[in-house]
Amino acid sequence: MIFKSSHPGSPDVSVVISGATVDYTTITSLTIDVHENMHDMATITFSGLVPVGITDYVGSPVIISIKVGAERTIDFYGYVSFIEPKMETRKGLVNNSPVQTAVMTCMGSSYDMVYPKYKTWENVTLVQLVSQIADTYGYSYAVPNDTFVWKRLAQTGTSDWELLTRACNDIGYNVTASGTHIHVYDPYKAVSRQLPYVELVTVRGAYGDLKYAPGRIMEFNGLFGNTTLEGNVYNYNYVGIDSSGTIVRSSTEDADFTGFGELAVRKGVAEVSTNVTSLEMLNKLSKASTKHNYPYNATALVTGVPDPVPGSVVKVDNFNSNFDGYWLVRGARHTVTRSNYVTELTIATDSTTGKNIESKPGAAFNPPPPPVLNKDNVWVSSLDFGDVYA
Amino acid sequence: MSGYLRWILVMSMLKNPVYRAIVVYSDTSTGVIKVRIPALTGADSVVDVSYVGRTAYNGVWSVPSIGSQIVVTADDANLTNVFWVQVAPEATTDLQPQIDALFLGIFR
Repeated sequence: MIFKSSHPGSPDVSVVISGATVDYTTITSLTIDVHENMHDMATITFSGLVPVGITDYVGSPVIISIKVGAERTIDFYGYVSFIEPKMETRKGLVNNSPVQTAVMTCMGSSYDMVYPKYKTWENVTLVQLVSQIADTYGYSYAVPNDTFVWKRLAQTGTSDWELLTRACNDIGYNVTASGTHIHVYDPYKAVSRQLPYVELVTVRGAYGDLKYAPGRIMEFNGLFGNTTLEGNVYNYNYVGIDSSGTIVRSSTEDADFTGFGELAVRKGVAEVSTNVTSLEMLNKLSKASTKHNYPYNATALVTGVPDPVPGSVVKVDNFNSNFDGYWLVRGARHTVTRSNYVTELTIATDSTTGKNIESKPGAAFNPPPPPVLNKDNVWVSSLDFGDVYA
Repeated sequence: MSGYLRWILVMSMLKNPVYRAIVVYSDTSTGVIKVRIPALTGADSVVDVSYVGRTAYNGVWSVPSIGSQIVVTADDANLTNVFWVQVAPEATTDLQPQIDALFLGIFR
């Protein structure tokens, strides 16, 4: 365990790099990044890294854990991907090492899935796709019981990870791979999924109480409007030709949104022409189109709070504004140094006021089994676990 | 050809390029053609060729021989429909007049 101070809010941080000699006291900071549709990532910064065997670190399994209190935790399981040592002779030795600083970048265990492949998947459902990919790597999974069938999915020089995220995104789902657990979820059903919920309070929300607590907003940077960094927010009219040669049409509806409050008006209608096998497929594509861009986006820098993950719902409280209310977590970056722990949450919503929150039918998240290292030093799930949920 | 039309043609070729495929199964009675497209899907995956643009004549489908190379294209990145790119012989458009012409030639 490292980085523990006497402050009651100080997190318990532990780092284990398997199979390599590490002086853990030389770690000065670390970060853990989790984001929807991306591999987990972590960085460890050393001051005065022991140079012996520095190249042996690459590929070593890594566990990083940040814990606040008894139950609030974020765990990272992955491998050392690369190291960037920095040696400047004029700066002399640091911790008796000529490597003054070194940043070790670790990718989550799902990085095992990045190797390009060539394959076609015929008549495959989402459950079959996810379970087969999970089985290939010894992972656990949770996937909605969606009966839609792709007539064909082509994997032409793309990785299993890329195929998985593309296929899920195309029909309106997001993917995370935390530890060895693949989680596929519908962002519009985030409330019923019941991933860790956090209230982020402003100074006003804390009623002037400036005592430390996890999740206090230190900075809030918003981008509000139908023009976003990820594209414009529209309604959509889709048109396509199905396998029988019939022209099929589908449109987004105002009823399709997160249900976190009152839907922010989507201005304009974008037309999309595409190739589909059926009207069902066109409906899927159309309904998925609004799940990628949200009109209200923000990054909130808060006092360290480990538990929100992509797919969690957080409540922004007491700016006394229409954007107070429920937001979807799209990513979280935890930064721990020897003197502080902060979390930067990437959040988005399509609703205002936060009143009349609607929980769409769906099942709650089941905690997956923890990862273990197999005899080849590869992270795998400790149990066969597949959750096909409603 | 105008520069714009040439650009459209080039772009459409880039979007839907053609590929060489190896026929692994074909059946003249059903029209089924199965191919491997090594440049797209590796050596193992086999995909069906679409019936779009193909017709049986007197219950017989024109299909390529097993093991032969043909040229195929697809309508999207998922290879939802794979099409056999072929030049339709004139005979297929109207067979009878050509047979008549052939026989007339023999007996002339």
